[in-house]
Amino acid sequence: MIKRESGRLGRWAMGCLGWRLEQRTEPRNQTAHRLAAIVVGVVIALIAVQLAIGDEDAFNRIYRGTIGSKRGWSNILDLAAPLVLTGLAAAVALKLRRWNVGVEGQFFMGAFAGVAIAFQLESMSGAPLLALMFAGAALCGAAWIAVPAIARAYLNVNEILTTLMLNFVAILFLAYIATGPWRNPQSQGSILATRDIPEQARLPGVEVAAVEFSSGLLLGIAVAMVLWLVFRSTTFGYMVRTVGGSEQAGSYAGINVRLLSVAVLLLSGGVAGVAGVAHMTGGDTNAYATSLSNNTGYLGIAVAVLAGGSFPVVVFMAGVIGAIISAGSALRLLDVGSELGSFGLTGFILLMAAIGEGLANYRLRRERPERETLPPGDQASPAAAAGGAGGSRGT
Amino acid sequence: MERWIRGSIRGGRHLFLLSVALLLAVGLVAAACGGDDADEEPAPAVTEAPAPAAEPEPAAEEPMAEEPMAEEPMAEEPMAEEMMDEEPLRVAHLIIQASIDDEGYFLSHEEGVQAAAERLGNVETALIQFIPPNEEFTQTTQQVIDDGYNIIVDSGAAGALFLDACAGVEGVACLETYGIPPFADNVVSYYPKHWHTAYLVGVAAGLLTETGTIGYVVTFDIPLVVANVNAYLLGCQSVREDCTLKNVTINSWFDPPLETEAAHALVNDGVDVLFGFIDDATALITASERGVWAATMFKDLRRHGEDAYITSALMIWDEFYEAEFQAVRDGTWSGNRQVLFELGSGADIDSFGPNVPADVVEQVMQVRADIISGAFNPFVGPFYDQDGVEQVPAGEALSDEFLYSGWSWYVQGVE
Repeated sequence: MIKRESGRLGRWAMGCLGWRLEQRTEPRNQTAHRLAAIVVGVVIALIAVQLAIGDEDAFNRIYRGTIGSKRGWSNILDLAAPLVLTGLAAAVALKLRRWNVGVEGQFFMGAFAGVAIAFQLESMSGAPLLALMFAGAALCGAAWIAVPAIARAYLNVNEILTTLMLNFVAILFLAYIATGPWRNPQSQGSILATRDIPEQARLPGVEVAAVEFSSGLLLGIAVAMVLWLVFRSTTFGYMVRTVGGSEQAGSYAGINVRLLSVAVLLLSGGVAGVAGVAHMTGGDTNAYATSLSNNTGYLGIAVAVLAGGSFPVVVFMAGVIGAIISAGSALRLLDVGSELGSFGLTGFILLMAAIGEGLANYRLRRERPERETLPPGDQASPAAAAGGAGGSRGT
Repeated sequence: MERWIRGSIRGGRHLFLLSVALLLAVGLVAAACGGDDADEEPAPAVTEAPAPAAEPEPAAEEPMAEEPMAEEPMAEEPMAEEMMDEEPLRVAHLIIQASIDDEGYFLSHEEGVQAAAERLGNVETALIQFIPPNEEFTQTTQQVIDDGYNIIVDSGAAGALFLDACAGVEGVACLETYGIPPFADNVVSYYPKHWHTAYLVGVAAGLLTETGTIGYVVTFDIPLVVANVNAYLLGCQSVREDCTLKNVTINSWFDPPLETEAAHALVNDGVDVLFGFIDDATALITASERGVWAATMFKDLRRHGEDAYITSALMIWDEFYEAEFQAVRDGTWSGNRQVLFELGSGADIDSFGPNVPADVVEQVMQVRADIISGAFNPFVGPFYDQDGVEQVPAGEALSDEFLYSGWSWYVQGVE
């Protein structure tokens, strides 16, 4: 209701200025718009940085902290690694137009399953232990979204709310576990953590061209490829595309929409769980700890949205967000980190992406009556000319 | 011409619209930045002060601001002239997740750093706040090292996130608050003996409580906090045998709404003295509203409810920082140490609130004097856990190590 009102208000405001939004019959190239949006967002953010700090060192710092040094690259890739998987998790749900806002919680539950299995089977050797940990994490992540998934499919309960709420439950569960018998006596201050998982349950880092990064990134890319193939070439993928396009059409085609919806959300939760255990075994924090997540689950949603739900693009966008966080980190030494650095940049880019999306699906049109009042071929008013041009092209 | 204009505008329509959006956004940013600047002035975030504290102190009402802070008086001293030729000592203070605007724990650290820097002269300090508690903290530490800082202060006990980058780096002194041994050769851990101050607060609470039930807002159920809770209750029981303690765990270091809720719940439950390992004045504000007593932690927060104020379990860091900075400058600094501040130097209680009766003050100050002189050790068994099982036999004194990070069970009387 409110949304409709504001929409009406917006239309009225634009109408006053002589413009209106018109939906395109054929959307423009969305990827191009998104890319343009990112570029514009970064440019604006850099201008903002310059305005706010006015320090010549700022750009240099950003450059050195991101793509200008080996350590910068390594930081970007390390930060991107978990985002690839959480981004994929959110993107899976988006294929069916579902919003899995609970990626963060599933991420932590995946890590919990990993750490629980690692502690129970401490004597087991590396490969089978890791396999069990990953399987357990996928199951645990899926279990964490099971109730919201079923409630969404059969009771039409909004999954945005239910998945989000469970994030807070997951964090409290972490606080419970990390202050209990598995507590790490070495870490008692700001971070709640269990003790570290055994050595053989950790994935070694990868080094390419002297740039070290977490092996979780390779896993993420592999998962992205598998998901891409599954959603592209299997019956399951075809069903998801059909129902994602129109639930009624899917239902009419004889697809069990409810079951499919549950399955897709479970898959999404499973991928999020894998993200958690992958980051724990491959990243810097080798324990079930609050320090495991850098808002990884929530940023994953941003990654998926920026990628338009496309699995290969998720990998790229995770890198972009990783670079943004690194840039924010680099600026932190000039004390702008938290405000403008990470959040500002991400916010700008999301805003620009939303505008880009709008421009891809809608176009601005000059209202007809206004055009008619103008004398034909008025050179003095480029704005009117632009409007006229747009209008004539539309008709 | 007209066709050309139309054509180019038509072709670049999206570009045109995007640039309109861009201009709008830039305008917004500029406006927002203007606002930010205005906001930032009263609460300076960074103190890049080549001359000690060229910027105003964070808390203007604190006594520190009274000291003259210009470069000239320093230069008059013979020592200082010599020092000005040297490279300045560069100190970075890293704060995990929070900022000095908490008005409590982290502000007490920053004040300590600034006071030490002022006294020594030629110290450049940087304050980096809101560092996320994950790999970003490690990366930030790395950048600070790359930037050439000599001393890095981790006041938030980030543990491995800090030490992964700092430990073992030559020429860098890592000051890690509340670290757990073992330590690397360039790491010093330091913390006040907070159990003594909590005990004294407990004695005051025991003398003031009418219901015999005192309350505590627990942040996390970890040994650091458990020891504080136990010391507080033992202090109370030392003057009132039937004293019991109710607590609420909020699972956060800083969450004023949750703290307020917890404090109200405790008062509803019959508690008439509030205390907690919390950063801010929420317990005191609630106590003032509800007509009960409260003690705060880290800093003097009485202005938030003087009528209800008992005292504060202070943590005072400047002497430690001054000694460490001086040692680094002299080249005599070495790591692999653990420093615990004794009661009376680094750990102490604040002057009492105006409504605390004189005989209570006298009695607490007597206990304080006895602990400092060594005549009295409050942490000698027997101690029983919550189920009444004897955990520490009679006559056995608890070690500092145990009090520091080993006490994981609540004593009898904690409900």
